[in-house]
Amino acid sequence: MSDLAVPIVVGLLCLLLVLRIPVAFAILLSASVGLWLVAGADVLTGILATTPVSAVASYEFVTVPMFLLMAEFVIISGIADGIFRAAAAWVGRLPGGLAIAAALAGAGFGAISGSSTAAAATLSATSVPAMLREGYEPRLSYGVVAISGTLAMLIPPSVAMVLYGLIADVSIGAMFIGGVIPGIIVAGTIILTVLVLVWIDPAKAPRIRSYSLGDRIVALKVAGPMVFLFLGVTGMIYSGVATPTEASALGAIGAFAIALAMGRITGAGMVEAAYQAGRTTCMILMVVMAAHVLAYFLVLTSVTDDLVHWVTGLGLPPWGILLVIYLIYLVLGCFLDLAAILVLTVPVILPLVTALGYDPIWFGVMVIVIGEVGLVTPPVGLNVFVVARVTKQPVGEVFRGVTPHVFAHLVAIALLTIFPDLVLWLPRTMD
Amino acid sequence: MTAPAATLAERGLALVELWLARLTAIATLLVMLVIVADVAGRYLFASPMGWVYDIVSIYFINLVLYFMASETLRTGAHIALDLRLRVLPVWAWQGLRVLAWLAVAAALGWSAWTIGAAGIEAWHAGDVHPGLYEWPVWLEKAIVALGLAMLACRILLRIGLYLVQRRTAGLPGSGAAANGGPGGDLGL
Repeated sequence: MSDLAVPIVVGLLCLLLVLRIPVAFAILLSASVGLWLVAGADVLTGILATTPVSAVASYEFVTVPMFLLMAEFVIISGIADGIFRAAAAWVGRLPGGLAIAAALAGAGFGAISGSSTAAAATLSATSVPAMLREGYEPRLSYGVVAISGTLAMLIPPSVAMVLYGLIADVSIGAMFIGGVIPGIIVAGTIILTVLVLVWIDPAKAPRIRSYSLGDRIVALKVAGPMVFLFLGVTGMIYSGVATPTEASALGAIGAFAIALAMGRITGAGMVEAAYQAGRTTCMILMVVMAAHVLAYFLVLTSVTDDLVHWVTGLGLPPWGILLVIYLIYLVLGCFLDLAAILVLTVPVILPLVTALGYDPIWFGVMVIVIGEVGLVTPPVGLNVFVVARVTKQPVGEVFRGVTPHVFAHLVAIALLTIFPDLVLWLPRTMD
Repeated sequence: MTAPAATLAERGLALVELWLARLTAIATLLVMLVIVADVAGRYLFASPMGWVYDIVSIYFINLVLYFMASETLRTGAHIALDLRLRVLPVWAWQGLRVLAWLAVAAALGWSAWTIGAAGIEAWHAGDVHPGLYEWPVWLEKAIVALGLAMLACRILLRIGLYLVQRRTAGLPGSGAAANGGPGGDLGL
């Protein structure tokens, strides 16, 4: 029976997922069945009695709720709205300037928050009405906002990077710093795509009025809190002054202080922010806990080792195998949340990738860049749904608007694959 | 289970879930303050708070995960595959979903039971985590067992409510259940 355990577990997992059982419970149940088949009821009972208690009992995991809390306070403070206004004052006059400002605001929001859906929701509420008011093509506006929201996953601090670091057992600080240059490249790709779209059809984005120098300087007042938070988190991690865990709590209290200084927070608002952060943390950690049960099954059946031996024995060049892995992630990204994808695939795929000679930090950043594509591709495309809901537009219209950016994103992925030092150079300069 | 009893149980459980979620939210804010105080103590006054690491890793993370779990399920926030396939008739689809959820509830319930039993043993034995501070083992097990038990109860209650609705609606596959999606009326 143990020979059949792997196909049974994979089949059961797929069935449960299709039945829309949440990923965490689907993994837990299928892994439990697999462990029962392979090792018997006593071993299964032992694992179910210990793993839920110990799986996430680690100090580093507190980084997840703290960064999520920081994102909630950033939203309450309203500085995210100011980032778009400041960017619009400086680049709004350029062709497609407001769309470029939305991309810059996405990058700015990403630098002080790790939640891509929060970024998409905030940008939708602020930048889309401004673009539509100035006569921008709606599809262009929705598309740029949906894709710019994904930058929050890549530009530190990023909850996805924390999760990858914990699963892959690599430095979260190095992951954060490794995401800086790719974040700039991806933001540049979005801006270039806007410029090309507007160059092909200038009617998509009429020129807007120019801002005076005074207006521009006044708009920059938002930069103070933003730089304070960015340096407070990423700067301290890079310099080694604080660990990612410490930086996450400092970032949360910094965002809280900004919200307080701006008079935007109440006692009930604080508890609500913590409630939202706690709920999202639970959603992520439940998948992590279930994945620990699955890990026992993978070890007992040697699935990972067998996969590595099988793939390396195929005689394919490493880049060919990498391409297949990319395709798997692109397809999974269409259906599953990135947290679930990371938990399900990294324990199996990462040993293969490292056996091929690739760096785990580089691979982590690549998985997250590919995961960004999943956030804007059908049928799931979480950011697209967020933009559609906030702007009250059909989902299909937003999907069409984001399509050029998906192709541009693939070019950025190719660039980062061909030149891995774009990811690895900055982490190497850390102490 | 009768319809009024099921509704009453749903209200009662939702109230407990909400209070546990609020408790967790307040704990999250406190942990933020405590970590910042620890960092400030360490760097500014060379006086770190040694207990913070233990409190956070032994109790707090499990508190966020398990005291929020049932509330997260109630509000439909757990990550699920967003693919609306319907390759089977509604009654067969819903039947499969009920079976799957029952199996999930059994696994969670069994886990809660064994962890709860281990917690009671730890209480009687006075087990503590080794280290500078002797933190009781039973407390973390109690947090996990309570959270998992609530989760199992939430699932069983939703299945119970669904079956009551089906019984009152008449024929299998009729009424709202037939009009909903594959996941519709189970509310999970």
